[in-house]
Amino acid sequence: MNKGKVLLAMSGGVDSSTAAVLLTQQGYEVEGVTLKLWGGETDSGCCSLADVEDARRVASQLGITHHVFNLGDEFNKYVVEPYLESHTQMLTPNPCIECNRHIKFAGLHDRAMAMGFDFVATGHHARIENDNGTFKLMRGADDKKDQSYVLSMVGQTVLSQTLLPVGDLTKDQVRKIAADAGLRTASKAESMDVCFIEKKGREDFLSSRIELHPGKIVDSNGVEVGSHSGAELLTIGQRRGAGVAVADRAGEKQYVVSRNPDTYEVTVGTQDDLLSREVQIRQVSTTRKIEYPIKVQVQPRAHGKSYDAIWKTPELIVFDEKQTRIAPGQTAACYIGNECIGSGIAI
Amino acid sequence: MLEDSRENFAINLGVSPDNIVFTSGATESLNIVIQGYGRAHPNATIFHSAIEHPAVMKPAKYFSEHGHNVVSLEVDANGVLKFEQLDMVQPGDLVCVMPVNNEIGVINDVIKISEFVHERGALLLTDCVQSFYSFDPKVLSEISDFAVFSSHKLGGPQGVGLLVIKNRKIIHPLSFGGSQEWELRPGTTPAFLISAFSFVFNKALQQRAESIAHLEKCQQSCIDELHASISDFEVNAIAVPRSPHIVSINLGNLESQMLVAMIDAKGVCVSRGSACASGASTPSPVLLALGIEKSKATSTLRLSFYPETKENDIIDGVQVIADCVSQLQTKKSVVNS
Repeated sequence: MNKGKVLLAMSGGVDSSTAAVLLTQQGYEVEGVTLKLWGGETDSGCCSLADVEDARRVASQLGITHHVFNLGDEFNKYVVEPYLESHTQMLTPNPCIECNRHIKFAGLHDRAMAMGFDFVATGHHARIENDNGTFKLMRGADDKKDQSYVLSMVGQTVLSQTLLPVGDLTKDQVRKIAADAGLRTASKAESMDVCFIEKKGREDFLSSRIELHPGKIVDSNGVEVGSHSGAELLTIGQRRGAGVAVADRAGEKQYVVSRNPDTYEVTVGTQDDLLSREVQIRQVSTTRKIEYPIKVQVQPRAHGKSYDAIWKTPELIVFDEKQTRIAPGQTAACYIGNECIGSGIAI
Repeated sequence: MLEDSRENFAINLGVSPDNIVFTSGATESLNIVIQGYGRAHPNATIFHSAIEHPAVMKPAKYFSEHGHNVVSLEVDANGVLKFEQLDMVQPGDLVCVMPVNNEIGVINDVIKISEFVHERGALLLTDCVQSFYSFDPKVLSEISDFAVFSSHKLGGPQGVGLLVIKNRKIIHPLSFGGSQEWELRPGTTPAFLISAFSFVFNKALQQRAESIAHLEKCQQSCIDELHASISDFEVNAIAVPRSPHIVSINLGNLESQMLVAMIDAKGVCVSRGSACASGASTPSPVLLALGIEKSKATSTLRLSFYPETKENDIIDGVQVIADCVSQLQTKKSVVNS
């Protein structure tokens, strides 16, 4: 039975490879596409030639057509440039969110629909439930791999045209399916870092593209306690970095609590100095229609704990208890149980 | 078998058998000449037209990054070499020009270029891979100091090509080992591939006039069909002579990577003209060299024909293209930004 035409984003990793296996088994008419987003003429870095070849080989083994789309200009415009700009503004950006917002669930989705596909599929660990015509974004079955956070900005139209075939599986199950199908990607290592940052690391990537400003580190009374090699490299809540460790003082751990974008002075303080009851957010989006105020659990990072709060107005979240402040630029994703209902970027 | 083939090529190309070097294909041949000449003559300038194949551009770029003088010769909006650019050529320099461009099919007057280059005391390398239906291979071989031919473009096996070289002593070898191919391409020679190439070359030569007439009909028929079914497109380099086996069209702002994927899924093979090693579409350097803006350089389709192509294949193929173009044109949101 043909359940529709699917364009599957294939990174060359195990999750999207297994997604291809499952979709073909489920009766979809599948074509694969690997997005070339970064790497320049030499095909180095992420989206490397080896990854494209892995995706192509998997597609060939499964008998599905494979394409390569170059969305490099859009990736640069919507992901890399804003990432750099955010750092110059002392923000802590999440480029994966922006990639999903602008590339995978906009650029690719729009192209797939124009080409006559019914669905776009990816290998993200999250689930979509159809609740009487409302498409709910749910956490993936594997707690440790759940990626609903990075999909928290996707709306109903896109959710209704998206398939996430590995969301019901644990990572071990994903690998087993790929291995059983004889796919070379079955035991491939996962990518953990920001994909476009080369092996030399974030500091090297940023320092070769933006001007870094060294400056003083001061305590909450303005007393100088050290120096740093670039305010742009630090983030709120960070304990170490920029060349100088922020030492414990009077037996208490010290954290970056603020950065001054004019003087490049960085203020450190204790955990208590980081606590806040509320967070204001911008670029707010919801996965479905909601009414404010609404009781939620807020997840401030891609993985880790959530905190009880009230999403009071679109731009304001109030925590039940004081929480470590969300760094400006980070995404606050809001959940009701296992359902992700939306997100915004902390101001 | 090997020497029979060499003699056959020598006769067909009007040269001596010891002017023929068998290689793995055009890329290797071009590298043997450009790198070999560059190494032997570090003070010579390497000139190449701005629309050469990457197998010329990349070794030239490598040399320019390593202290050699490399000059890219500008072309006009149709891809025709700006002849006055050749005034820069000095004795002992190397000039690389493809008689027929691989992406848009534009023909350059390499006979006139050869006369000028040789008057200057310089040497001419012609990449003749796409030239079979526009120039007699014997003529190209005669006017060139180095001429490069490929097997598979004529329907022969992949992995074999040949280099005509008039004076083997003026280049340094790139590889060292055995004494095969005058020590310019050492290693065991693939006699069966070469023999097959020789056979196919002979056959193609015998049928050349007939093939050209057929391809000219194919090309005209393709353009007519395109005009009948697609409203908004241009034929690249329409104003100048082009090889009959290529039609390169520009579709305004439609992204050809989507179009090619859709057309491919319907069983019709076309190309975008330019892709990097991953297969990802890139703005064609050839079209950019013609002065075409970047957004349009990603909106190009290259259609090609063979002597075996049938009239109905063209009609059916153009219909598939037209259907896909029509589908994409209704989605204005996905045009190039």
